[in-house]
Amino acid sequence: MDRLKSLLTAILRDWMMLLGLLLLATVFFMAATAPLFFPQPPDTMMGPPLQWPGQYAGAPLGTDGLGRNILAGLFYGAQISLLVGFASVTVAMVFGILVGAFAGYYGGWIDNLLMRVTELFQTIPQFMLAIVVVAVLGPSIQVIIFSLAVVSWPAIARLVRGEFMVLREKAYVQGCIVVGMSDMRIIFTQILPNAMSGVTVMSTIMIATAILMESALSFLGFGDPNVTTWGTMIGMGKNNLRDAWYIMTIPGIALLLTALALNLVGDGLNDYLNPRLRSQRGQ
Amino acid sequence: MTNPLLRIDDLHVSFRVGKEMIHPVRGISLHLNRGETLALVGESGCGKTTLARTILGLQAPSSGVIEYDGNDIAGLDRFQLKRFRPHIQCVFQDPFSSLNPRKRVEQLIREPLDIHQIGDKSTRLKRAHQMMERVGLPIDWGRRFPHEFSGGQRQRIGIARALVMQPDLLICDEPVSALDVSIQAQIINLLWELKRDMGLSYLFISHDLMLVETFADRVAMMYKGEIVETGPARQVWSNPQHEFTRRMIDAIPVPDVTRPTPPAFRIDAE
Amino acid sequence: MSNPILQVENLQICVRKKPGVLILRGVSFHVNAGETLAIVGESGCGKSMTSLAIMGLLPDAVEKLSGTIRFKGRELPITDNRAMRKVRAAEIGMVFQEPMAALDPLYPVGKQVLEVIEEHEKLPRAMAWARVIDLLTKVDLPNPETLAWSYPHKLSGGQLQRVVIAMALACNPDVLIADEPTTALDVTVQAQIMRLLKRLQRDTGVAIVLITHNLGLVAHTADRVMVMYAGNKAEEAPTRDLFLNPRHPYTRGLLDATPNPERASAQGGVLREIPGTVPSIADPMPGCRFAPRCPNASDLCHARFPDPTYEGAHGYACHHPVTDARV
Repeated sequence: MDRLKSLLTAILRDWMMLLGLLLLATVFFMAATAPLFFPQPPDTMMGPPLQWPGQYAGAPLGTDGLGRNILAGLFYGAQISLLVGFASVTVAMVFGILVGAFAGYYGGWIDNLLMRVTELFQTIPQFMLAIVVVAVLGPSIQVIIFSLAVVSWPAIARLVRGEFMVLREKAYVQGCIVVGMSDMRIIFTQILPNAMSGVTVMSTIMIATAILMESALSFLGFGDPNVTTWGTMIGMGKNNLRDAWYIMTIPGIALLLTALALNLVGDGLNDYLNPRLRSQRGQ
Repeated sequence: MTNPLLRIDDLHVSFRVGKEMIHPVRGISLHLNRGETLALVGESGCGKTTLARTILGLQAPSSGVIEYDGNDIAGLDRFQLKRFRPHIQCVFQDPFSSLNPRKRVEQLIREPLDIHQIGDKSTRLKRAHQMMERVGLPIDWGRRFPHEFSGGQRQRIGIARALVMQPDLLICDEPVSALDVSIQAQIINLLWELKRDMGLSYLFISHDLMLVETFADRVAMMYKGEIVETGPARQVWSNPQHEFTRRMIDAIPVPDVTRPTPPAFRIDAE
Repeated sequence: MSNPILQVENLQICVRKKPGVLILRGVSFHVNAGETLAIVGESGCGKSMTSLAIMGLLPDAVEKLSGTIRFKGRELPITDNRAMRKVRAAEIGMVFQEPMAALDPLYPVGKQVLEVIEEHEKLPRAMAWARVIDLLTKVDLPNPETLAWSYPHKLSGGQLQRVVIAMALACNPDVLIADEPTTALDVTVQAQIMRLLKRLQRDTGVAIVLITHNLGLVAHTADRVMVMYAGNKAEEAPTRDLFLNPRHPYTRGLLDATPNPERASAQGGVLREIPGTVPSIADPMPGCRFAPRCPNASDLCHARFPDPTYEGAHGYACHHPVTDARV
């Protein structure tokens, strides 16, 4: 309870983080209420094409080249962005934490092996790797989530490994060995909770990256063809860039603000967790 | 003649640090009798902490015997060692890094009982509370986190955690060197009382000969990985035999103005 | 009062923007030219904060509330970092507990000594370097010409502390503040470092402010002692007087709690402890801050902070001073 209270005061004091949270809440609201405000799917042609924002009453933010409601696209696109962002980072976290924890705790050949594998993934440019995975397995939401997880986990693994290497030398971990605690229990109940603050901050920012990468994939036509995402909307808009630039710009701004929001929240969390971290680790 | 509680014979420990092979423990033999306080004294880097880690099974020996109550425990793996864990416990030097910052105090003290599944949950908590009381911590502080305590209080928490399983042997690795003088005295006295009441034996590792002289039964002087002198504390202090012991005692400033300044501090001698 | 070179008057330091949370609660003392004054106390007593204040190195989290610090009669501009840079090293040198923290791992140690000299004096490079070698010789470092080119990690703790002492004395300061200079070192090295400091003091006449918790060190190296407790000066006296006739119950308790093999038999194997802990700096107790732990405390002690009493050079702040001498 105390911790929750201190988090809340920290949020209220840090207006940048507050702004980030408000923006993020807006995106969540859009995703949750999409079917409520727009019962028709976002790819329905609901009016005349290329209507500028404010021009056509049924679509406040205008329509695209095929007469689809841009506002509806934004709402439904928010669902996909959030789903892809959170799901891929969750998968990446589970895998990255496991690899990092074992490598960092055991060291030696286990560390060597796991880190060589991690480096292998890191040497391939992230976006290229994601494209290859999607190209091989076929474009669907599940595959996209998987491909983004594949490119995101190495960073988490390295971070967790670093934390574990420091923490396993702490006297309290030695103390746990001396009282006869098992390795698994030490890794998951003693060290991991103390290593999580860095991971939390990093994963927040990685969600932003994942959302941007999903849009880039969709923009290039590697997205799931059955769903409307901000990336596909931007991709569609490029044909009308000269006469109707708003088609690209509006989802572009949505993307920008979402990524910004996640970064602000990540920075805020970092500021909040770090002073605690210092006092907890004994200066 | 009764068997010693702990017997170490010709113990060697060496390991790799980076590319270099180091050899911090070079053929140590010592014994600790039941109910005894044996102080292991040496300067930094003499191998005393490595020796403690080896006895605790945190570091594998390269050769030699570590016998606990007649059983050789040198080089046992963690599963085999678990049987002996409740008997040999440890208090660490740094009261800040030796407690998990995210656990509540009563949880920290109860944890060893949880691991060895001693009693049910409520008896374990009761034991933890009894232990808190025994080391002088108010029971209603049990829900607090370690960072809410001072250095001396944290060391009491560490002692409670180490003693909750009622071990026979407590290895104290510089337990008071991070504490202030007035608090140091409190902790030393607490350890002394606990030893008397619970029938403990201590292996007390320290760099402070003057401190251990006041309460250890025997002292073993360690220098460059070897034990160079052992004997009753009083005798080692007043009649040191080895060159290293003499040099150390000559350099210790006794807090007493009526005693002559030790030669190591005098500039008129130069 | 013979010849005070450094005078601190009513120094109060509080947590920034919290004038009620005092770290130093009005501390006054002086340092005479050429003497060794030991400041003794346990963590949180304010001894390190005092030295940082004199050096103008107060951390951002605290601020000076009142008080003056005079060096050779003029007030030190301790809040003016630029002005203090001229004072540091040139007039007041400082040695820290962790020599590694005082040195830059990326430069050879000789260069770092050189930097201090060049910061304060315009000298041709060759002359300045000759002085570096001379200084390293004076602090008893072996092969100073070669050692000057070594990086900090190649040297032992004792050698590093010698380099830091050379840096602190590079510009012939009148006062050297040594904050726990030997706490991180082994006893044999500690003795060497203390002997070095005493010899340099004899040769240059530098006054030493020795900040320490080690009463043994004080007994054999200090001329005078100031005992601090929870931000206050508890007692000050010539060393011999303080050890034989401590008047403040805290000083007495501290002396009795210190392990001393010569007295052990009288105490029956157990140390004499001071019960309780140091009060929090945020605790606004009106009286003596030692009262909750003090065997002599009365209602008066809890109500009013005692004014300092002086008997010659021996001063203490206590309503009920200890009267029996230590044997």
